[in-house]
Amino acid sequence: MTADPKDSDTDPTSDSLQPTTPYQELRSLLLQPEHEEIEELKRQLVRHTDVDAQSVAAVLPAAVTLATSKAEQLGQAMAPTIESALKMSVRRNPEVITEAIFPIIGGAISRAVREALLRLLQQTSYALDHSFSPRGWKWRIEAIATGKPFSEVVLLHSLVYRVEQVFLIHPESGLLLQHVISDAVAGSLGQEAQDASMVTSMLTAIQDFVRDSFRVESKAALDSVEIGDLTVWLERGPHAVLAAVIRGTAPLSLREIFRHALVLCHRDALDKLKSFSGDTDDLKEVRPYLESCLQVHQRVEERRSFSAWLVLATIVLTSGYFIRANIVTQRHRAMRLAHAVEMIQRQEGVVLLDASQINGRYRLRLLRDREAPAELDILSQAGLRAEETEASFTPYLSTDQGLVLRRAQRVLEPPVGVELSYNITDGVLSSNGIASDEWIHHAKMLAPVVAGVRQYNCQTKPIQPPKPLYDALIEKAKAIEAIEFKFRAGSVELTPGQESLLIRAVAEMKELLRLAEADRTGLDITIEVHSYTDAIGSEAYNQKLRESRAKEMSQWLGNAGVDTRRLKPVVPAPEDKTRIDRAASFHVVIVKGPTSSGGVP
Amino acid sequence: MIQKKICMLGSFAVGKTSLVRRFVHSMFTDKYLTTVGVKIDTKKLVYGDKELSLLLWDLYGEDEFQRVQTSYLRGSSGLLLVADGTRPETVDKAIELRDKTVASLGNIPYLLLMNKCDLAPQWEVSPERLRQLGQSGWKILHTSAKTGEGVEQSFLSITAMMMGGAAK
Repeated sequence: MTADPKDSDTDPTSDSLQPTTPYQELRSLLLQPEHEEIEELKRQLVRHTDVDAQSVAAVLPAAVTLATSKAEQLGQAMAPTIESALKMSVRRNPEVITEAIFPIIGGAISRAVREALLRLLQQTSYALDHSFSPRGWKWRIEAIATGKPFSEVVLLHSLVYRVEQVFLIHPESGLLLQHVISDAVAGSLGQEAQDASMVTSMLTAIQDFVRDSFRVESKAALDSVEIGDLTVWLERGPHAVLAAVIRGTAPLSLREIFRHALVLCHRDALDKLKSFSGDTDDLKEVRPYLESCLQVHQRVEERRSFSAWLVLATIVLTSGYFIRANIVTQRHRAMRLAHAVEMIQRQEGVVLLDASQINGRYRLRLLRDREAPAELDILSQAGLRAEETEASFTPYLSTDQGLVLRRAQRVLEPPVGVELSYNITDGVLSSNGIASDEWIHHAKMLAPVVAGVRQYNCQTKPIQPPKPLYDALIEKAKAIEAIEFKFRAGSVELTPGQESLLIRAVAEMKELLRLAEADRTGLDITIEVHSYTDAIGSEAYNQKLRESRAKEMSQWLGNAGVDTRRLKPVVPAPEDKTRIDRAASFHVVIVKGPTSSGGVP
Repeated sequence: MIQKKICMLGSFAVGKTSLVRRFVHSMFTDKYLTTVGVKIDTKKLVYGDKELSLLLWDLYGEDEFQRVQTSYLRGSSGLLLVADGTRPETVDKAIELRDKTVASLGNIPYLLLMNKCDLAPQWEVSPERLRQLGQSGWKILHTSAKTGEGVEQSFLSITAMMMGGAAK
């Protein structure tokens, strides 16, 4: 081999192989073939760093095919490049990509638009049907509250459906890929449910039949089959068809759920769908997606919500009723308490310290003179029942006119023919009439110590007439004083059933006067007619009523034959509350007359 | 569960539906045959250790008035071509249908069932004809839907062919 002079400058190896010395010659003889191979490899290396596009283009398709068939690495490696290339292309001229993919997405878009229009139509039709019903107005309110369109709310309430079965079908053979069935219908279908593969085959056959019979375009397919209340909706994918058997009226939006399930089936089991050989066990993994299609919408929920509303309304109404009833009761109780306070304050010998009403019970704290009416009478006259009242009475001594007089009468026990009177202004207790010497003496001793009495003025005369006549007079006077008449409320009329009492009163009075006339000592007899009223009404009215009752009673007795000169209507002073009753009674006063010449006590 | 679709093909009145009826449990009525042109039945059986479900597509018999809809054939794993031994032309029709099917589906297992063997004395299809067919690759079985002869065996044979094919 001959060395290039240029090479010899730059290549020490070449220089070293020149057979200039015997050693070099020997070396050249031994290593020449290897040296030539090294030189050739060097030349190839230089050539490959300069590789031309043409030779790559020649092998690229084969290389890509080989790489794709072996693994997905090539796809993964190229994906970012392809994505950025697509982005760039769209930025530069979107029409190119649009035109390219239109055949794929055009059909999908037109179908989506068609379904959206149908859905709108469905909503509108339901909305029209329910616009003016009472329920419609309720839904209208719900639409306002939730912000949803009215038509959507109507649709939501109107639709009742149940997806009973879902079949996943191999599009070519009609073989069953998977089948799920709603629990609600599984029992009732029984054996038929097991023959799902026959159903899917027949369904596929019918589809083929329809397509072939009417010569529709090859990709067109049956969307739904309707028989009575049952509808079969079909959704097609490249390698599987989803058929859902629906009972009732379902919203078109349900199709989106089916479509989504079908997409998931394809995503997770694409290879198995592509190479399906008839074994359903291979596709068990897609069952959950099919089960998600077993949707149910029942109006039962609405009923539940209606009953919930009913319960709520009942609670509200009942609460309202009780609150209102409570308010009414409270008001009523407050009025009763005010009335009771007024009545008690009118009562002589009773002082009201405190009155309240807690938890439906009345609580009273009072002072009571022992001459005043009994505790229960005080409460009942005030309109309060014992079982609803807690009253605590503390004893005290009253200086009221009526009370002092009553106390004096209790202590002195004046006999018939003696009349006691008390003047609250100066505290003087007076006695008039005739009585025994013993009583006059007894009264003079006791009267000054009666509580409220400052002074005793004794006008009572000792009894003059002979004992038998006097006893007869006293007996008659007692009989007359025992008589008492009752009046109707707010009236001068007597209550019924007192006719015989009237006759007896007239007879007793005539007899009394006859006896007195027989007495020669000239006794002066006066029959005082006292009348009273209850505490109801104003004091002025009651005072007038008392006057009328006394006058009327006197007049009637006069008409019946009693000497009117001996009758004297007496009306208690307004402040005298000794007796609160719708009654009239009599008091007989016997005094020694001016004509009397006998010794008068 | 493994499913296989088998199509029953043949001329009008060769006895396809009767053969199927002999073999299967039906869910649909025969009315479908005249309306949709196909009736589908299933037969469940155990093959080896596998549970198998045969979907038998009984296609309306082809004659001068009605053609078999080829779309029904798609996805088939096997064919049962049925001919009537008393009518030689039905054998020709079976051959024609086989050719048509192979053209659209490719090679799939098939059997020729010579039906009505209970009427063997009246057969007009000569044994020679059948022997020639056998030599050219046809597998032929004699059946009678009336007596049940050969029916079960026919379906089991096509099943074995399909499953064997699948195992290839």
